[in-house]
Amino acid sequence: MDNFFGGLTDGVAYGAVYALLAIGLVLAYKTSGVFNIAFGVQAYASGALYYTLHTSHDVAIIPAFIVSVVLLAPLIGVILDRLLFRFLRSAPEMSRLVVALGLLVAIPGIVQLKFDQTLAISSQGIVPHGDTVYNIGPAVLNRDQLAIIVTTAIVALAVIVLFRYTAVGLRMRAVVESSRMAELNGVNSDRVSMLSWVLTSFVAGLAGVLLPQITGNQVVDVYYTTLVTAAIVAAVLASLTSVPLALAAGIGLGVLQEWLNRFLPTNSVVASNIRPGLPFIALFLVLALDPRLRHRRGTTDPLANVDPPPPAPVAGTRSSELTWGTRIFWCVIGAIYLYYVFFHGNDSVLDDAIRIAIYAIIFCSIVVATGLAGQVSFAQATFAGIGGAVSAQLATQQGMSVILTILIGALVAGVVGMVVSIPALRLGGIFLTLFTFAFALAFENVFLKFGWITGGIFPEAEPRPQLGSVDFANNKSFLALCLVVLVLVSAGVVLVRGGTTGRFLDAVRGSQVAAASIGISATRARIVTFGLSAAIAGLGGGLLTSYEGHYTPTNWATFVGLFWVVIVVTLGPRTIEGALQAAFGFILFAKRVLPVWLPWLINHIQPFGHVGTLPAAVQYIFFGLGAVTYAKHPEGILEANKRKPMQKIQALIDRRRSSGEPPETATSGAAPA
Amino acid sequence: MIASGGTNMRAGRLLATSVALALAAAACGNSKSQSGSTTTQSQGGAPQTTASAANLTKFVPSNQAGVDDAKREIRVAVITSKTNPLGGKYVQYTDGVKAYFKLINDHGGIYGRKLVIAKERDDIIGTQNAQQVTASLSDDNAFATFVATLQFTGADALAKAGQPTFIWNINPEMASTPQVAHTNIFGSLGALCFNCGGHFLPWLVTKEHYTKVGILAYGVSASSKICAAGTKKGYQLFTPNVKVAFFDDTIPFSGDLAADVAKMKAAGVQFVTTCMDTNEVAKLAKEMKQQGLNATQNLPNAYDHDSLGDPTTAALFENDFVEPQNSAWEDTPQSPATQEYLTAVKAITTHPVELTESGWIMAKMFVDGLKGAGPEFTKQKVIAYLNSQTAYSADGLIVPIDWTKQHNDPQSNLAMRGKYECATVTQIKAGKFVPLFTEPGKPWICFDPSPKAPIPTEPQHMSFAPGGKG
Repeated sequence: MDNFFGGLTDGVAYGAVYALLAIGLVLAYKTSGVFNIAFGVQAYASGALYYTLHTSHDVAIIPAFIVSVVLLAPLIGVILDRLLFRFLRSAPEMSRLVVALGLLVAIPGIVQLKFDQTLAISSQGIVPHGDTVYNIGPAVLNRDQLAIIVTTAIVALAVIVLFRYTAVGLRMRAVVESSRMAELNGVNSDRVSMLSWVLTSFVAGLAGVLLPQITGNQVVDVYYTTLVTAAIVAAVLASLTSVPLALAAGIGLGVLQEWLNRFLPTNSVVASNIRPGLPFIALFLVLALDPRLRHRRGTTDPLANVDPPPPAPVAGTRSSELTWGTRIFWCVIGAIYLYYVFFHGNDSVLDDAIRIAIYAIIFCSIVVATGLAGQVSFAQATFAGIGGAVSAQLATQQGMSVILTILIGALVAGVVGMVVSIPALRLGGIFLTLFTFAFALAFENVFLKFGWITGGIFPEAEPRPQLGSVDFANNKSFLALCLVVLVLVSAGVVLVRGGTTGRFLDAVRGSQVAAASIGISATRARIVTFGLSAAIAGLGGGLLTSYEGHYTPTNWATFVGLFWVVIVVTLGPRTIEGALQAAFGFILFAKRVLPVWLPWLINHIQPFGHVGTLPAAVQYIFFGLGAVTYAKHPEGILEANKRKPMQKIQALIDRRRSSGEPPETATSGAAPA
Repeated sequence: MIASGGTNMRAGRLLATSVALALAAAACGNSKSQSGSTTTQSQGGAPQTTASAANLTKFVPSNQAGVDDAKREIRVAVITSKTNPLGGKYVQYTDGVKAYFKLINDHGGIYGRKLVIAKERDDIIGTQNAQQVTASLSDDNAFATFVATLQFTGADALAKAGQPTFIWNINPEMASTPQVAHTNIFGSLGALCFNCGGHFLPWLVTKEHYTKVGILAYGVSASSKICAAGTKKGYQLFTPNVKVAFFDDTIPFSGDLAADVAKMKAAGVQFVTTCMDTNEVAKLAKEMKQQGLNATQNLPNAYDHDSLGDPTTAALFENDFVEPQNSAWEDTPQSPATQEYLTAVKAITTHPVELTESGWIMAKMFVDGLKGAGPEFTKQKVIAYLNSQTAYSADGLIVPIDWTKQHNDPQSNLAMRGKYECATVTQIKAGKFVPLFTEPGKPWICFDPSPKAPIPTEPQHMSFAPGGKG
């Protein structure tokens, strides 16, 4: 009984943290229509400022709290609303999720420009003497835990009252449903939207100063993100709409976790596998089995159709001369680059080129999943990792040919992708994305510790392949192999896009109902796409593992995969060109642009101050902020910015065309390359 | 439209199938060029004597990569996990290297040259380690490379390049693999042994009369789990009277520890060993205090004077044991080597941590290698000289390392363990690290490393400093 009641009280204390975060996620979704995956890093910003003021500079609790939570947090909300989300009210739900993902990547980078979290090790809470312990019946709680429980209860009550009994709450929901219709009824949607973000950000700020007290007193962004990830399960159980359910689910999850901790023998296989992954396994199961989430539609403005559709990619609208001109131009540039790499580049340049080719292959999988199918998958890194692990195991343990194992790895990843997609496809919108997220996290937390997958402490080795008499141990040969694979994958993606599946997906994206009425199975098309996408990622995973010589789990961490999505959607998620650009950015930005090229440029265009190596965090800010433009430019920033120059070149071509011939406009059938 | 697409699709399928079949059919083997390297260190060719004092100033032109005779510089590169979302300390390693280089340069340098950090790289918590290593080898024109990173996936590249490499050894990748010998990679410890189950902890619990111990580790980390298993094995091997009353290697990252503490309390645990990071042991200490579990912790990687500067943290860890990697600064009398370090490091940083000293020690090892190689030094000579050392201790700052064998994985080959199994022990008292079990001038307590050797009543007190003092 001691364990039962002890687990109950400890579970309530820990579950209150999940509940507070889940309420924050629900509040954000209900009042802004955004699944705010960046909620944790918003909290981190307030936590970092509170630490700096209170712990580092001995500012008293109340002023430090006011500055960090009452001022900074709402200010962040105002900035996010004014600069970003105000313009996304009619945008698809997925676009808003991608923007939040960009913030998840960018905000820690911005905070860490000024905040050294390696020194933030002794955070103090918002109540004095937070470690003072109270024995309340069978419960043993300290002041910090009581502060979290009380705060969670107050926030839950306030939000319930807001939505049930106030006109403001009703207006907030109305603006999310349709800002235009709300405005027709005299609601100032701008003001209401800003109020929503101020409120959500205030709750994030509260979480920011409370959380370090239960994560070991360290103010580190990864702890915030980890807790929010676990809290997503409570938010999903509440269908992202019910605050009382989010509260109950958060506390329920905490209690369940605590009881499992207490009742499962610590040396059991079940404990070993379930404890580290419980929230993610729970999320996986809830998304797969909860009937309320079946084909649930996200919040979309019924008047959204008054907006013009996003422009077609530049590559799809240019004339045939310009298309060929562009292709020849890039072929020449590519040839020059490869000539330099093969005949003049040193090992580092060759290393860059190999990694760019491999990551371009992997990023083609995001083009398939996001650009073609219109789905955002957070599991691409996991699929790549599966390909790498299968390949390394078969090559090393079974002594099979590496070329064959890479193909088998891709096949296994593809099959896993298809299997994952089957339950996922009954879900709509962001729930499908969250399902891929849950799968990735569950895989990472449950499977990756097994030596038979990764090799354990000493990663599983994988040699380079040999094809007939060609030994790919030489890096130049291996680059040639990667380029061949890249060309084949690119051709495959282009063929799929222009083929039956691609057109089916186009039709499904346009109207699933209409597509079904002419016999197109959205489910089948999406399963095929998911499988293909996972197989491409797995192929890249096998190649990278072979190139590096061993399986490296950190290459395939879920959050690395999130950054991939950010970088691809920033630069161009609908074209092979976008995947290539993203691969160049991913490999070169931290390695060359920030430490060498950008400082060199800055130092040569201004005489005032010398700039050294720029911190790597800048890449997260750059690409994170790039991703927040996704809703405005779903074709990617580079693609969007090519539009005007391309139009000018097109005009020039048209002027030079012989007189009497009508100018060619768009080649509707031309597929973007 | 659909028909046309279908034709394209069929063509695509045909192409893909043909290529897959062709590749599968032609794929007849794997590259052999990476295998077959030896992991046994030959002593042949190593210089037998170090350079004389006169020789240390002798300038001999060199064509070695990383040696700039025009500027009279020997250049090195440093790679750390500076960008680090886990809040870990890595970049402080560079401060130690800088401090030792400054000391040498202030005394005229070596062989008529200054020691220079030519490039500092950030491997972003190890995710770009292999890339940064390759870039450094190609672009930095460095004679040697210093590394303090979470992951060390670039180890093979450094080994294949024959680059003298000096690391903060927390990485299993330091050890030679069946494919590539890592005999050019040196650390302030030899290749790590996660599952060796040493004598020290069993001896400590016996000495302190603890009879029930608890062991905690992460469930998501293979190295953490193996560390826990090794610790358990140590207790079972050497202290049959001590009961491992609680063992949990399933702890989630950033999870709640209340249940573990409740179970430990119920089991009567008196002493806790963890294979977790500093943040997690702080959380554990807090929970133990809250639940009234009055057990002592043995804290891993906790020789951090900054953290003890906070009274709340210091109170949490009161009476806990900490074993620094290097001889403790609080030893009395302080060894000359420690005094030299503590004096010199002030010129570089006001917040030196344990890792800073590791940087210092590895810079010293590098310079000792240069000295051993003589005025006509080459990378190979530096490596060969260090690999001829059977008891390298950086003037007593670390436990002697036998570089003729300690590049090799001791987990699979017991003969590759070092000759010495030693610890220097401190206990946290009123916010300070207080040395324990030392004899004046002998900061280390040492054990026979053989798995068959029982724990002694009293370990051997030792000094590895020149002259046997400090």
